[in-house]
Formats: sequence, C-alpha cells, structure tokens
Amino acid sequence: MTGFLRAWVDKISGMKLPVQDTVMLRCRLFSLFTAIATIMIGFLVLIGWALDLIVLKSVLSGMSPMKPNTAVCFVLLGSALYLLQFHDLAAQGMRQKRSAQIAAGLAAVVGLATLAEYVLAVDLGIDRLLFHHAVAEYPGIYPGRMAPVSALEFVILGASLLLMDAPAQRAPRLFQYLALTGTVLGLIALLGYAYGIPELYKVFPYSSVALSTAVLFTLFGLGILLARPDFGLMTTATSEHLGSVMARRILPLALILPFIIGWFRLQGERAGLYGTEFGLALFAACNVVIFTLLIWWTARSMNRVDEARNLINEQLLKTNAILERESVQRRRAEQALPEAHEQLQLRIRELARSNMDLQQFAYVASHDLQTPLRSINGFLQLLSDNYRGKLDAQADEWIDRTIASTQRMQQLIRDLLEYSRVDSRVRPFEKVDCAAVFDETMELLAPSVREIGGQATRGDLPTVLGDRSLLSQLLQNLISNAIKYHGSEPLRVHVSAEKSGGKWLFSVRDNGIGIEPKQHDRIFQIFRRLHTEQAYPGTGIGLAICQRIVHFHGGAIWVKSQLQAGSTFYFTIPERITSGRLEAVA
Amino acid sequence: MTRKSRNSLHPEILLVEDNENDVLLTREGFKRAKVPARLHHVENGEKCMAFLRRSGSYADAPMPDIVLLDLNMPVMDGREVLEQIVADPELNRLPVVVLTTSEGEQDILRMYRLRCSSYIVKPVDFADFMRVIHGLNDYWFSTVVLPETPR
Repeated sequence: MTGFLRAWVDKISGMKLPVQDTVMLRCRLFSLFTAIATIMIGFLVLIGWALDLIVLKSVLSGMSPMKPNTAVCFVLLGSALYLLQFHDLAAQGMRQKRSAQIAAGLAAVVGLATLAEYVLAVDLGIDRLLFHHAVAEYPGIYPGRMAPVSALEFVILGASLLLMDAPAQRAPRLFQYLALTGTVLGLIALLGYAYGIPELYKVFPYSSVALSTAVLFTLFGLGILLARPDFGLMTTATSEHLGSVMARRILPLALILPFIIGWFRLQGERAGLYGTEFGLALFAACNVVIFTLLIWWTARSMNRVDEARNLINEQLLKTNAILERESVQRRRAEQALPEAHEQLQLRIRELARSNMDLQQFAYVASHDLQTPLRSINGFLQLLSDNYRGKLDAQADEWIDRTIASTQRMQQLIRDLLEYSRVDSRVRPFEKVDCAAVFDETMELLAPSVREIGGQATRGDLPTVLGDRSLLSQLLQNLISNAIKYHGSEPLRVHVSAEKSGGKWLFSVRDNGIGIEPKQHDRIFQIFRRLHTEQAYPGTGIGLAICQRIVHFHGGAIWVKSQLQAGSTFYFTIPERITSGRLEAVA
Repeated sequence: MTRKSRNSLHPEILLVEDNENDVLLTREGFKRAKVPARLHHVENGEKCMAFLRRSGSYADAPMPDIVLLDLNMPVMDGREVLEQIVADPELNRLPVVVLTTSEGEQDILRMYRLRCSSYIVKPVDFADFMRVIHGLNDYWFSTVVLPETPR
C-alpha cells in the first residue's frame, strides 16, 4: 500500500518525496489532494460563472453560489499549498516558496480588502471585477462580494501559508493555530448546511457562504496542518508513540461521529419522531455508547501494543541481564586467570622444591647410611681377620653372613644414590649419536655376550638431543638385562629405532625368558625383583633407572613380552625438547 | 734425598675426621699396613686450623707432612678448611688429601678447584679401604717428594 502510494506520489509529482513512514506519507498525500482539489474547484467555479452553469457555481439550484473572487482566492491558496508540498527538496525549494508566498499573500490581500469594504463601508470595486453581469443577477446587499467570514478565512489561511516554514521565530506554530481556526470557521458553516440551519451560514458574517466554500475551508485548514505532519502540534498525532497512535485512531471518529449522530437526531426530531428533550437524550446516549465502544476498542488494541512492548522490554531486560552476567563472569574469569596462573606457578615451584628436597633426601640419606655401614663392615672384617678360628664355627658363619649383608646393603645404597642422581644432573642436552653410543656400550658388554654365546645387533639409530652418559647407561642397562635374562637358545638382541609422530621410538628386542604381562608395570619400580638373589643376582634398580632416564628426556618406556617368548622394551625420545631444557641446549 | 728420607722416616699425618669409628678403623688400617707415620687426629675443621697454626692447646703440635681431610664435619667442614689452608701462605704448600664419603660431582669439582692433592671416596668395604691405605702409603711416602717441613 505504502509502496503504491509512494510510487503514485512520485509519478504525479515527478519527484521523490522524502517521506519517512506511512503516517507522514498519508498526511502529506491528503494535503496534496486538498491543494489540487482546491485549485480544481476554484477553476470549475470560474468556469461555472463563465458558462453560467449552476451546478458548478452553487452545486444545487437555490443555494448560495461561490463568488468569483472566492474561487480566484481558492486557486491562489491551492497553488500556494501545492507549491509548499515540496519544501524539503532543496533544488526547487526557494523559488517555489517565493511563488507560494506571493499566491498566499494575494489571497490574503483580497480577503483583507473585502473586510475593509465591510468595516469601512466602502466599495473598492473588487467585488465585480469578474463576471459583473452574472454576479449582478444574484440578490444581496453587495453583489459579488464574498461573505465576511470567507474574507476572514482568506486572511487567516493566507497568513497561515505565509508563516509556514518561516525561520524559527517567536511563534513557529502560529501557522498551525491559524489553520485550525480556519477549519473551525469552515466547520461551523458546514454544520449549518448539514443540519439545515441557515442561521449558521446566513447570519451576517456568514451571509451567503456557499456549501462548497464551507467544505473547502474546512478541508483546506486540515490540508495546511497535514502539509507539515512532523512539526509542532502535529507531532502529537503523527509520532510513533502510543498516545499518537491513539490520537490517530480516535480523532477522525471524534470529529465525524457526533456530526453524523447529531444529523440523525435532527432528522428524527424534524420528522416528529421525538421531541427536543428526547432527541438530546438520544444524542447523549448514542454518543456515550459509541465513544465507550470506541475507547474500549482503542484501549484493547493499545493494551495489545503495550503487552507486546512489555514482552519485548522483558526480553530486552533478560538479554541485558544475561549479557551482564556473561560480562561479569568474563571479568571474573579474566581476574581469576592471573590468579590461577600464579597458583600454577606456585604449585610448580612447590613441586620443584619438593622434588629437590626428595633428591637431597635420597642423596644425603644414602651418604649418611654409608658411614655406619662402613664402621659395621670395618669392625666385622677386623673381627673376622683377628678372631677367625678362635670362636666356634657358628660364630665364624654368622660373621660371614653379617659381612655379606653389609655388602648387600652397600650395593642397595649405591644403587639408590645412582637413581637419585639421574635428574640431579645440570649438564645441558647435546646431540647424541645413538649408533655410536650403542657401539661403545657393546665394547663394554662384548665379553658377557661372548661368554653366553650370542650376538647383539642394531638397525639405523638416530642422533637425538639428550644426555650422552644417561643414554649410554639406558642402553647398557637394557642390553645387560637381555644378557642377564637370556633363554636356552643363543642370545639375540636387536636395537632399532623409527620415527613416530615427533618422537623416536626405540625398541630393544631379545629372545630371553620373557616377563609375565601382569608384571609389566612392576618391573620399573625401584628394588622390585621377580627373581631370587640366588637365581639372578641384583638389587632391582636397573629398569627403575631406565625409566627415570627416559622420563628425564621427556619420553615413555614400556615392555611387550610373554613368558618364554622374549621381551621387547620400547622407549621414546622426543625429536624436540619440550621443556626448559631447550634453553640449555641453545 | 736427605729431605725425602728425613720426612719419610717419621712422616706426620693429620687426620681430620669427626667419626670415631672411622678414626679407629683408619688407625687400625695404618697399623696393619705398617705405615711408618705418626697419625694425629682432630675431630673438626676448627681444631684442624688450630693444630696447623699451633694455637691454644696445640702449641706444641708438629707440622704435618700431609692432611687427610674429611668434608662433612660439625663446627667447620672440610671445604672451609681447604679454603683457609690455600689462602694461608704459611700453609698452602701442605698436601691435602680429601678422604670422604661424598661422591658429589660438585664437591669433587670444588675441592680440585681449591687444588686439593687427591680426592678419595672412602670405600665401605674394609678390604677396599685397606687397598686405599696401601696406595696412600706407597704414593705419599715412597713415591713423591714432599716439601721440607719446618718442625
């Protein structure tokens, strides 16, 4: 609908009206139609005078005709209003405004002159300038002279148009008050015609106001008001607000309904259906009912609008609350982040310290354990040397057993020391050629391998970043185990490596006695042994140290094995160093 | 030659050791190894320095030809003793053999930086300890020439 109207307006005006919304557009369309209608009616009346057509002059025979002057003034006013429609188009603005003001000014001057004739009782000769013969045919005191109210109307409406769009001054709304006055004056005459009360359009100031004149005045006043729907008084009725919506709904009906009801009441009274009192009561009752319904209907739709608005408000509030909560949470999280980081750092420091303490403990304890052990061993040796054979055989055996135990304990302490020393090293990592390490290790172990019969081989081994002596110890421990726990067949041990997702995966495969799967995790624990000291001597430190060395390098170690089916030990060494060790390497 | 024979005839050894058992075992070991030396003993670093400087009750103490120094001791430990000996122009010609339980890399490095003469880790097994004593005897009292000691 709006699109159609706008397109239509564009078409007839040949310009684009900068109209914001439907209400504004409708108002301005009404104003535009009023302007065009006023011009056309003015011309039609003039044609009527020229060709003596009653229907054009006074609509119905016997009714007052519109005076030629009035018609000319209407053409002038209509033209002015038409020209003022396009005020917001800068290009044409000034020239058109000037023309509009000249037209409006002329109409006002004619009105003023006519009023002067009435007041000063002079004849300025303007009444019979046009069609003076035809005018003379109509009876009246001043043939051809427009009614005083019409003259006043032209002054008022002309002034209104002149003041429209005047630069901000003391009374920017004055043109609207003038237009309103014009409408009311026209309405009074119109009521007279509608209700058949000649007093209202024939009393002196209204003498011979034509019906069409009354209609045009009423409409024209509105036309002026609606030409500027976004200004002054009009904003109350045209804005987006709820009050304006209500005004738009009720105002037209409030203007028209009493008018119509009154007309019906009058018709009924005149037809003798009821008396004045009853008619008045009926009029009041009808008004009450209709306005109650009107207000009820309006209120209901207002409530709906309000509800929708509340709903939206509520949702907005909710959304706002959610956003606020989120923002609070985010802020809290942001505040918590450094705190958590600090906590983490603290924990890391604590752990590092605890780890240091543990190393220190193991180291010191081992040392301090060695001192009394040395004394026990020393004195037992002296006892054994000095008194062997002087005590009985039992005493000699016990002394030997005690010495053996101190030696075992010494071994345990030495292993514990070695274990605790793995990551107390401060040497930076270096590039270690694992093939060379293997070859060196095998030089050490070759006699043992030869002794049991067998061979140790290797595939291509990489160069990795690490601690050379630790990696050497790792290989040595693993291969020593393979030698130590060999099976009945000749020993085969093979060391190989392959790249696997950023790590080197090493494997040490043997054909030895194997390990039960349920023991696979336990063998890496310190001093954990699966065999008796008699079957396989040792303290059970080797694999624990291996695991510590691998962990120290950031890798993992595990075994795959079945009893009597050989074992494969796997361990990984990262290609790159992930921890702070990298700085040491650099 | 005369200096060597004079010194090696009755070498004076100062053992700085806080553990009584170790002292007893060391004495026993020296006796068994028939080391022709006189073994003096003090139980901490402070007394060691007093002995060397002949202060207090050590006014008549002989100047040792060699010091056997333990590291971990109460009052003043062996590290400090070596520092003071090295810093003292009267004493810095003294051979100091560190004889300790500590195998710490840091300790070994530090004592050699202070120019200790040898660093020996005390073996736990007495038989091993005897080998150390024999070695000390052979080396310090038959092989090397020691500086002349003012008595």
